[in-house]
Amino acid sequence: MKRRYHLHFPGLLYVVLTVVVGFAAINNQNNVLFWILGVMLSALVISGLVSGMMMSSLQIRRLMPAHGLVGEPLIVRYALSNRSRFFPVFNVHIEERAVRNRSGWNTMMDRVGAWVMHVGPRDTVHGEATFWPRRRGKAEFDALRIWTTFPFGIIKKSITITRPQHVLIYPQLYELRRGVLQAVTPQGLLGATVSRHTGAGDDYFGMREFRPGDSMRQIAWKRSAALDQLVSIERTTPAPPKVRIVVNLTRATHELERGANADETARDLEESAISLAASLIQLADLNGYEVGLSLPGTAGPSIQVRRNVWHREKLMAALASIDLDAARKPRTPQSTANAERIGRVVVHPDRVEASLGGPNAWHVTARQLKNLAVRPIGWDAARTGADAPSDDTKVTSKKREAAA
Amino acid sequence: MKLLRGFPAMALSVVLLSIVGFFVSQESVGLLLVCGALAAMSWYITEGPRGRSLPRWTSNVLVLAVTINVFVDFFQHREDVLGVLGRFVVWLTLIKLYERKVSRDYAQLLSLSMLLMLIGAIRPGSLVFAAVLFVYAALGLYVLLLFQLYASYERAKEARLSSIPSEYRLTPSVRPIIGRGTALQFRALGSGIGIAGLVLSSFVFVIFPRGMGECLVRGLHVAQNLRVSGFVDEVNLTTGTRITDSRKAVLNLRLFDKDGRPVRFDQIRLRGAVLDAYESGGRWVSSPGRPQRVVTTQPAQFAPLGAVAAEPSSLSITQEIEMLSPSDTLFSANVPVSIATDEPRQLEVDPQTQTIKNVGGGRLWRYSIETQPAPSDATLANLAGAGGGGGGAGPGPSSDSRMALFDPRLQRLAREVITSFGVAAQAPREADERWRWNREAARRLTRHLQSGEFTYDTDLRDVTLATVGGRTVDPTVQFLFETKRGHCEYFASGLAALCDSIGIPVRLVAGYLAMEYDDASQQYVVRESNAHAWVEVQTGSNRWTTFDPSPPRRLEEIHGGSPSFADRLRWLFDRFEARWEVGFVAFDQNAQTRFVESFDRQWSPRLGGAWAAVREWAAALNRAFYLGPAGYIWMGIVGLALVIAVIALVKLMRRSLKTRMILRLAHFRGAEYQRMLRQLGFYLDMLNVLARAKRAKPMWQPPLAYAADLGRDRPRASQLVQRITSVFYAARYGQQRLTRDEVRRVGSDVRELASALSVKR
Repeated sequence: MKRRYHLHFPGLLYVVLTVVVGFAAINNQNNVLFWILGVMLSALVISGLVSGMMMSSLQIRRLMPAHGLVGEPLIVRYALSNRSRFFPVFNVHIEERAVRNRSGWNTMMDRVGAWVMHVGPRDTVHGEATFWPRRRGKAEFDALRIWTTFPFGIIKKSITITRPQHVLIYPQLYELRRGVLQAVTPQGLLGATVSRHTGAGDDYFGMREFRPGDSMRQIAWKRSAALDQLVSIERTTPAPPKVRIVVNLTRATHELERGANADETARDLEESAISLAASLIQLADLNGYEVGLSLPGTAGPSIQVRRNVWHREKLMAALASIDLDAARKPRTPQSTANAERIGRVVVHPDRVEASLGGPNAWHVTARQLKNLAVRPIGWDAARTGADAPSDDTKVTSKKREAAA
Repeated sequence: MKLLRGFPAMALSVVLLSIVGFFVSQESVGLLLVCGALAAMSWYITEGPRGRSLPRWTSNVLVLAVTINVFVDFFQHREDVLGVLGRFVVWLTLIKLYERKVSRDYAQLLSLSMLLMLIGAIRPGSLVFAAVLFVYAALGLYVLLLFQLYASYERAKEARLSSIPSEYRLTPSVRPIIGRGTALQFRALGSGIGIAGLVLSSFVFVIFPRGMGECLVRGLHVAQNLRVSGFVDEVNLTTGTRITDSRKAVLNLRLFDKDGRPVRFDQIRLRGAVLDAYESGGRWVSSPGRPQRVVTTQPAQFAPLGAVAAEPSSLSITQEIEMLSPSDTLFSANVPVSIATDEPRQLEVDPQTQTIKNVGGGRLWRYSIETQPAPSDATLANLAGAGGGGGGAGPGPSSDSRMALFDPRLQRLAREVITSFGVAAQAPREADERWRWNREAARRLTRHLQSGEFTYDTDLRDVTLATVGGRTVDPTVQFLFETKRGHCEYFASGLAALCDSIGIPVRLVAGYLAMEYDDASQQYVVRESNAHAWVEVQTGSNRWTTFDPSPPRRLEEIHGGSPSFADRLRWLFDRFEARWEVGFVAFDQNAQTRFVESFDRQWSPRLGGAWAAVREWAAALNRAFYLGPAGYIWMGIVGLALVIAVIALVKLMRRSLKTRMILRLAHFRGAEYQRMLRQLGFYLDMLNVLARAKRAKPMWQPPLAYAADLGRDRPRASQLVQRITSVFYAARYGQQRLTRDEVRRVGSDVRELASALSVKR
């Protein structure tokens, strides 16, 4: 923890003004000026004492969200606790210190610091800072600084606390066109399949003895009458359609073929491919598909076809964690088991490599994202980038504020 | 939010107050009304239901116009730089008031208002300005605190809103995040800061060294007292063309009769300096080389001022004077016959003029003088000493002129005046007749000057001395024959000149005219504005009679009071103003010294007395128990033990309170509570050790999680914390009573933790 007093510009101006007033008071021997000088000196002392006292009684915790998403604001909360028994704390600013490495949060998002107006004695208040992720990856946070200029704005007192933490920023998601999913999955021709397990489906699976808790509707009455004991009918579980997304990252970035668009870099193509894969996963999950993921060329694991919330998070985390700067691994043979029941979608950054994904696989390239996507979910980080908000943005913001 | 919503109105109030303060210090009512109204209107115009504000370009043009105007103003009023600057700041403030205001504009407005008050404060401070300044300081403090929140909120809101990409549809909340009881705590903190600021600023005000560095830069020096009223021991008619009143109190005067009863008169003339030589050009001085008598005084003993003690008189009056502003000149009403001072002093008495000066060094704050309003000739002779007489006039009447005035019109006018009243134009030869003629002639001439032909005026800036034939006309002559306007010094000089022209020995007296009587304290309050000049005419070999040619009605207006309601209010105001001026404006090096001395006087005896009482009590105790010389040692040991016991008790109580709070033992009662307090102290010790090692456990983190964190770089310490915590959990939540061995063991664990973290216990 590092505590510091800063004499910033207004403070410096104030000190100069105090010196001038002191000089005027001495030069004129004017008692009113002597008193004003006294007030100004006291304000200087009180400012330092009060802000120091406030800062020393503060404790802070960073409450990091589970993950962020490119195109959506990442709200990081800070729990500020005032340990003082009597003195409240006012006007506290919280800001994250920049991290000097490639995965530092400052390399992948803009931020607006948090501000807390008041924390009462023995009270805890949550402030929130908004981050605007521009790209996916693992964002590392290290130190954060809390500062205040209360009460007079003369002296700035700050405390820097080291709290290393990280958060995964998921890739940008796009709203895909209707029918994309049906087009890339084999369900349309083969129809829905059932699993070999009992469940709550409609198809007949078998019979068994009645167990307490079975519904009356499950009882096979005729058979029960014949056997003179209650027998229940068991039904099959409907097997949801399955899809495996394969992101082809076998070729290094510099080996990719760039298109005619000069602004489009090879890295952009790879990121678009990852975004398209993430969007497909998201869409499939929403539509009740079981989804699996393969990331040939990377160290990322091949994830089995499943469906639940944690599984989806796992898939997204795997996509978020892809390190495109790492050396690519050679392609390994892909399993074609259940190929007829699991649809395969292979996403290529630049061009299709038909050998990947098996005979029935659908191949899409990152460039097709424009055609497949209706619009990005949230804001388009690729388009807005890291630019500072334009004047139009400000005006819009003001309008929004007025409307609010 | 309610707190922040009130900020704009509060800021406007502060700005309004600063405008009022500035114009009060400038004593400019017209501009105050105009600018105050404009400032107040700005609220309705900019913040009203159809709020409009000046476009930026318009305000920029206005600022340009005001800047040009300030140059014009400066060339017109070069002598009033502060006024020009202040007016410029006022116009800028008004323009800013009509602009659209964001936090930056509020910052500028508050800075301008502060500047205005500073400019106002450089001028001599009146009580009204002081009152405005005080209210401004209190309100300004509140607004300044509020501004910090307001500006931060605006900045945070702006930053958050402007960071939202245009295509993003959802707007995050822009409401401030606040805890409970914000307004109440804010006001309480503001009040605390205000009180602390007042105490600290008063401390700085009192101890800041005075009297050094004055006029370091003459160009920037604003005369603290532009008001030139006040006592001086010489008079120059050509300086001080404008006399403004200084309400600074100079002395307090009490009068007692022979029996010690307070006495009150309508007016008392306190003689300070007697000026008997007039030099051409309008300068009155004391003629040098007169023999002086040295008198040494003792406290509370009246020392005679004459060669021998004056014979007692039934009409004698004792005056007690308390000087508020030190002076080497002693003031007395009537003829002083004896004097007593509060400290031994060496005084110099002029036998011819009966004026007294402090010559022995050291300031004289209090003295008493016994005076006789109607002294006998013998008393006067005694005071004048052997052969003493009427100044340079000798024992008998003389017709020699002592004033360097050679204008034949003077004698002509004087004779015309006295003959018009039926007084002989020529002085009689016989001495007694001559003295009587002197008195009569002086009285007629005084009446002539008071007749209405002459105007009493303290502002003579439009009067310039004329020149005739290359020579400047004497100001007294110009007053008598041309301008016929002047203040007391002109009137006195005019009477003196007329008297002198017909051979009447005359001298000018400078002093104070005490008319302001305070019924509550039964004393006259004499201020610098009560400074006055009058004339003494010789009407006996040692007798001088007072004549005051200044119009009595004007004197009453200036120096006295009237019983109307408004005047009573004025009197009340004056009392406050007097306190303000005496206690604050006139607080200088001497006042600092007096303050320290009075503090010393008050506290030294008390502390000394308390110490003596303690010693006496100890001696009595020693005697009572027959402890002998070693008794004091025993008492010292007992006292020390008591102090240690009290310290230990306080520490114990603090520890148990802390334990109760941290271990959350509030709902435990009786023996269980005592057991917890007794046994679980080790956990507190552990927390202390961690805090001292700068590894304090955050309140939010459970101990075992904290131990896991600690284990990354301090594995041994982490193990110990885990072990201590498990014992603590067992005792605190597991209802387990710790045995002595367990307590000892966990205590040694804490010690080991301290050594593992290199903490000295």
